[in-house]
Formats: sequence, C-alpha cells, structure tokens
Amino acid sequence: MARNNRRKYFLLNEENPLYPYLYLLPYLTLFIIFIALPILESMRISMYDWSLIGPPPRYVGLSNYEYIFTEPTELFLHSLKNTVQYAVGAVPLFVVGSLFLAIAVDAVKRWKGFFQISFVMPMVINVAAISIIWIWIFDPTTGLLNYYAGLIGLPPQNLLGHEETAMWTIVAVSFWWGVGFPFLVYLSGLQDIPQTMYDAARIDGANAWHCFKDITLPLLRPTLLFISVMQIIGAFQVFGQVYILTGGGPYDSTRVVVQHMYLTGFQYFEMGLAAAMAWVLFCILIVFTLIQFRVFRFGERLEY
Amino acid sequence: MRKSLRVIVVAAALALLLVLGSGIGSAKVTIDFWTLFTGPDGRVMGELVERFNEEHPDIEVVMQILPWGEPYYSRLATSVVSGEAPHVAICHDYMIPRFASTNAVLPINESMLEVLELGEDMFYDAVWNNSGSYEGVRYGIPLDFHGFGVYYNVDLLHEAGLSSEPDALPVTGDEFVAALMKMTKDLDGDGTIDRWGIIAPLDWFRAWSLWAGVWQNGGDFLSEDKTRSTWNTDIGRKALQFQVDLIHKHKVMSPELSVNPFLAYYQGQAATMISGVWEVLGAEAAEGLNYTVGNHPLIGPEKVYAIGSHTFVLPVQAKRDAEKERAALTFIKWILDNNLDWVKAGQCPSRLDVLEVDEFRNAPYLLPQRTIAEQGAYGRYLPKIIPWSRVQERIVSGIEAALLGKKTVEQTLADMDREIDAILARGR
Repeated sequence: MARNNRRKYFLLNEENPLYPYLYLLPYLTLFIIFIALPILESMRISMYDWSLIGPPPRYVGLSNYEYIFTEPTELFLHSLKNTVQYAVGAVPLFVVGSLFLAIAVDAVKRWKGFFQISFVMPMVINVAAISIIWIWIFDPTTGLLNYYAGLIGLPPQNLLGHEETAMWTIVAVSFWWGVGFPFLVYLSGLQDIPQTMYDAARIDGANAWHCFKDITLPLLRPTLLFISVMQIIGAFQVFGQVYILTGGGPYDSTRVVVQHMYLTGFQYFEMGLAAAMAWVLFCILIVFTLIQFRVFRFGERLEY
Repeated sequence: MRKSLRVIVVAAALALLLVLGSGIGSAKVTIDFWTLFTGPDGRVMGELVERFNEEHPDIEVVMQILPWGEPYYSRLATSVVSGEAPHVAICHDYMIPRFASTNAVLPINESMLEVLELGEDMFYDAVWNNSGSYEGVRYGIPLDFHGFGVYYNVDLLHEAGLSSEPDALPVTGDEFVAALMKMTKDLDGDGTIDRWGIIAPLDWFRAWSLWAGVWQNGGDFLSEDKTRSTWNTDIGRKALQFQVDLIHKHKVMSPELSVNPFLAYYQGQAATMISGVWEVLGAEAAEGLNYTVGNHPLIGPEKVYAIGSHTFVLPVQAKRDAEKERAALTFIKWILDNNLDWVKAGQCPSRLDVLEVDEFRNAPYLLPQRTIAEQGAYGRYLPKIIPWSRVQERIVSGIEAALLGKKTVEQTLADMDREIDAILARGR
C-alpha cells in the first residue's frame, strides 16, 4: 500500500499529487527570482552600510535602524507622520467615498455606463500626467481653479503651496485619480448580492437604510476588507503624485515615507538606510493588515 | 538535387559575406554616451552626435538620454558596478565628488589631455580648474557652464518708465528692488497686487540665489575644511533676509510659491523671473513675449556668481580598452570644438574662443547666453563634497520655511546649520 502511494508521484497524469504544482511552477519561479529573493536580500542590505559604488558593503548590524530614528534631521519620522496624515485623509475617503459612488451608480437607471466610465477613466492615465495637469489647475497665479474662483468672487488660493492645505489637496487629487479601482470592485460586489434579498426585506417593511445596514454592508464584508487593506497599503506607499505635485514641500510638509526612502537610496546613495526604512514600513503595514483582519472577522462565514 | 546544392552554395557565400562584413565592421569603434538632456537640449546633442558620426567613419557614438536627477546618477552608478558603464557620460560638477571618491570615473591625466588638445588658456579659469576636479585631481572636462539671470518683460519695463538697454538694467540688489517696485502693480485698483515685480522662483533656484548672496557678501556657508555649516552668520542672515524682504517688506515678489512659476512670467503676470540660462529656449518659444536678460543681481560688494557645469566623464569599465578610450576622447574634443552649437541649447560656452565668434556676439537668440557668459570670469562652483544633494535639499527646504513665514530668518539658518552639520559628519 505504502509503495503504491509512493508510485503515485511518478505517474505522468493527473493522478499525480504534484500535478497542480506543475502549473504553479512558472509563476513561482519568477516570483522567487524577482520578488522573494530580492525581498530577503533587502533585509540583508538593511544591515549593511552600502553606497552602491565605492567601498564594498560593510556589516553594521542594526545601526541603520537606529540611525533612521535618531538622526538630527528626523526626516524619516517626519515623513512617516506625513504619510499617516495622508492615510487618515485618503483611506476613509477611498473606502467610504467609493462605496457611496458605487451604490449611487448601481442605483441609477440611465447613463449607467457613462458614470462607470467617468469614474474609472482617470485611473488609466499615467500618474505623472495627472499630476502635471493638476499642477496647472492649482497654480496660484495662472491656474484654472483661481480663474474660476475669481469669477465667483473668491480670493485666489494656493492649495499646494501651504502646509495647511497641501496634503489634503494631494488626497483629493489621489481620490479623483484612484477612485476607479475600489469603485469597480464595490460595483461588482453589489451586483453579486441577489435582488431577491432586497425584495424580501421590502415586503417585510424594511426601508433603504435597513437594507443598506442589514443586507448590503454585511454581504459586502469581504469586499470591504479587501478594499480597506488595499487602501491602507496603498496610502502608506503613496509617492508618485506627491513627488510631482509638491516634491515633498512646502518645507517637507508633504514629504512621504516612500519618497524619503527613494531619495535616501537613489539620491543620497545610502542603500542600507533605505532598505531599513522599507522594512520598518513593512512591519507597520503588517500590523495594520492584521488589525483589519480582526476587525472584519475575516474567514467567518455569513449566511442568510 | 542540383537545386539544393545551389541553395547550399548561396548560403555558404552569404555566410562568408557576413563573416567578412562583420570583419569590416569591427574596424569601427563603438562607444556608448549617456546624457541627461531630456529637453530640447537632448535634440541638439543628438544632432551633434549624428554629425560626429558622419565625420568619423571609424567611430560610432551611441547616445542614450536618461532622465536627469536621481535616476540618472543611480543608473550611472549601477552601470559602473555591473561593469556595463557607458564609455563617456555627462556629469554635473557637484556629482563629481561622489563618482571620483569611489573611483567610478577615470582621472583625466596629462596624456589624455594631449589627445584632447585642450588646455587651461582655452577656458575660463574657474570653469577649467574647478568644474571637474576633486581633491586636486581632474575627472571631468567642462562641456559648458550655466548661471542664473533675470528675465525681464521688456514691455513692462517700458511701461514702468525703465530702460531695457543692457547697460541700464539693475546690477545691485538695491537697484533690482527699486525696479521691481516700479513694476509691481495693482492694475484693477482693488487693493491687491495683480502684477508682480518678480514671480517667486522655483525652489532650488532660490537656493542658488541664496549662496550667491553669501559669496557676494564675502562669506561662505561651509567652513574652510568643509566639516561645518556656517549659514547662521551676519552674512547668511543678510542673504536670506534679502529674499524674505522681497515678499514681506518690499512686497514685490509673489508670496505664493509654485512648482511651475514660469507661466506667470510668460503670460505677463509677473514682470521678471530669475532662471537659468537654459530658460532661453522657453522664453524664445513664449508667444508674444518681448524679453531681455540681465545678470543676476549682486546683493553684496563682491562680484561673484554661482555657476555650474556639465562635464564629460569617463566611467570606469570592466576592462580598460585603449581604443575605446581614445575614441571617447576624440568625441569629447570634437564636441568642444563645436562648443557654439551646444551653446544654442541654452548653455554658456566653456571655451573662450566662442566669445569671439560673430554669431555669439550678435545673434538675438543668444542674448541670455551672452549676458550670463559674463559670469564665467567671476564664477564660483558649489563646494565639492560627497553628500552635496542632501545638503542642498536642506537649504531648499529651509528657504521655503523662511519665505512662508514659518520660521524666522535666524531660526531657519540655525536649523540649517544643525542639519547640515549632521550630514557633513556622516559624510556620504
């Protein structure tokens, strides 16, 4: 019997238990070479003093981690703080805002396709292009926004030029640009909920709020979890639009952690420090993700 | 049978041709040339490379344009590490210490200079001696130099009763401020200014003006041994105060900072802007703009200007190849012999003989180059330290905080000193 079992592994057909892994092999190979190994390598780099060129990497233990938290410019902590500010603005906006957009578009009877395309379209534009367009719109002296504000008698604004408004403006631009993805996921989630449930609830006298609270929300839970995890990760990795819209200014008030990491690695040539920052960011994201899995009680089945 | 034989014969002949052909081809030396000229200047360099290749049947230069800034230099660095570096590359003067101190670029020795047939007497002193050297050793050959000037809107100068003649343009900081005050206007009389004397320059342009201001007052912002930052001195405060005053005291500079200030000048919402000599291409293209260029104001008694250069460097190869090195030097020499053509891309010439050429002396489209070229004789380069870009970033950020009134001048400079000292102490 045992012999028979072992022989299974040498079968050249679908009976072989290794059969499914054959299909995974191409992806796994690439994944290991281009993602898994570099990730592990970055952990090693984070413990070395390495400037890309020049002297060979020197082992420094955990002192890179110590340095990024204690160096006098405090830019890592500062950019972490800015990133949290972005996340505080962006995550609820993306998670809730795009849900309401999806519910609204799901409910409209006419022009549904038009609305769907409108909200999704910005997503396909390159981040540099959208950022440059918004720079023009927001420009304090020549921008479109101030032109229209002037027409209705509002004083000119320089939204990207002041600490008080710059980050929130970036959040708004990011939402405009990125709403398409969560919007689409919600929309398909909504369409998966059988109409019969709503019909039954209506007969029992439920109003729109009841339907939303007791049918839509619970049945969308996996989608909500997915979107909020993705949005938190995305928020902590925000970079492109910030870098182009403000370059981290004014006076570093919008410098985000990935930008700081990028500059540390590729402008300051401090690969070890940059890798250490990446691992700190990774740990933060893992903690958040685990918390979210708890909050949304992932894996618990819900049936009606 | 016979048919297939014929096929074989033809194939063999072709193969032979190929082998011979490649033999002929290999007499040609191919070298890679990396640049960071992503704008119209890249097109100009591309045309120069094409002309060089036509005139030199034995050399083929393959130019590659990479985005400038961080990606360019990190890719140049990785290419050296992986042994796939280009044979010639463009490198800013302030990046020389990074590449020189790590032996990523070759020192340019006497015998190479002989091939180049270039010498001190052909260049501005400062440009030849300071652009491409690090700790007394030459690593870069200056292609050009660039400085900052003031772009004036001629119509608005005249409207304010000012002359646009080159000799009548402001020279000192006080003259500059006086002219700006005349051009700053509240056109519709609603109590707010709608035409600024000067648009707030781009963030790092402000930094260039700042250290120029320190030098013009006879000071410096790093200690002689380059281990300490010395911003917070009377001279440093004076230089920063000059910029702050433009906004808060004289009210001639737009208080709103923008990442794209050029449009406001091009559209006449500001009478002047401070920008680099390369801005000539934008000014020439701006529709309906009647512009002239004056030198950067001198806010102190010393006539010093902050300048920079693009230099040619020879990145270190996995295996040195004398033939390719020679081809690279031939190419550098040829480009420098055609310095005027490069100047048209919006740079000042590094070679003095260009100054004598009629086209350079008279062509209206070379006005900014001609004006700012004066800085060559009074030019000063950035300190040659390895972590320069990190230091500059702290200066840029500090100025922003001061201009926006977030910090006092004194506080700004004290913070700058503290941060820069830490960067210098780390040293990379």
